[in-house]
Amino acid sequence: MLILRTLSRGPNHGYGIAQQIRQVSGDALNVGEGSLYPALQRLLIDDCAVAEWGTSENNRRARFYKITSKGRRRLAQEKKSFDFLLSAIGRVMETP
Amino acid sequence: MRTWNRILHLLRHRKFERDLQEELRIHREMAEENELRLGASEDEARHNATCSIGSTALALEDSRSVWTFVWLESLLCDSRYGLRCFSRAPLFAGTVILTISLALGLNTVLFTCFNAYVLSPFAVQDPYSLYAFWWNTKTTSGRGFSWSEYQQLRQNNPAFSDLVATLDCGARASMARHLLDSSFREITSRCSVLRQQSVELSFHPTT
Repeated sequence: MLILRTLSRGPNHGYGIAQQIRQVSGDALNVGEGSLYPALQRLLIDDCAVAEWGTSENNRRARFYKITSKGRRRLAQEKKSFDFLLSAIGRVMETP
Repeated sequence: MRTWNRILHLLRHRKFERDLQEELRIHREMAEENELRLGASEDEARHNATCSIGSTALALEDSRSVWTFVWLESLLCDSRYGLRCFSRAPLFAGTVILTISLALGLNTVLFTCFNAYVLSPFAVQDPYSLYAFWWNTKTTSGRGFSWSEYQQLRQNNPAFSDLVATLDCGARASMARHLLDSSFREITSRCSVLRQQSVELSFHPTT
């Protein structure tokens, strides 16, 4: 879900996705290669994202991932179930 | 869709492998550059990048397993290992294969016979209304009837709608066929009414 949300802001390469998640979360979430790349492969195999080689901002060859319409649908769906879970946890914690 | 994508991947897995490896290398380089920009020495940059990224080999392995049919690959590996073990001890392997195949063949033959003669009923309408009967004495059992006895039974039989004599149990199939040819419909309907009597007859022969 985090990767899909990052990609929904625009195409990005693996390192860029990891950096953005880290920055936006205020260094709380550090996504390593070991979980990032398998997750990206799962998005590719499910047609939620497409990948193509391009040039990065500092003129380096990089593989850019782009979200597809199926990916956007998946993101909306996952956000909904995540919100549901979060609000449920919130209610349990806040009930005196 | 998932399976189709996997099959596509199978066809061009070399390119996939190259892409993924290069991608991971670039990721590492970018992380190192970032560390250098932040003022770390070259060794420190490498060390920090490795710490934050984790194992490349593991990432490669996990990414690969998303695309491949893992169970198929492990099955292939296991069979290859099995074949290697067999080729190391060919005499043992031959004995094992021969024993198992003989046992399987014997089992199949026995079951086929048992199924044909015991389990499956005759291929006629309402096969359970057919009865076989014989007679017993105090000392012997399972005795048959002579030809004249059979003729007599057939003419004066109070229980069955019809009688058929066979030479032995092996002729049961031909008996069934005979019944089908004659007025079997009538036989079965009358037999079911007279079942009780017929059982008695089979235990108390007239002779």
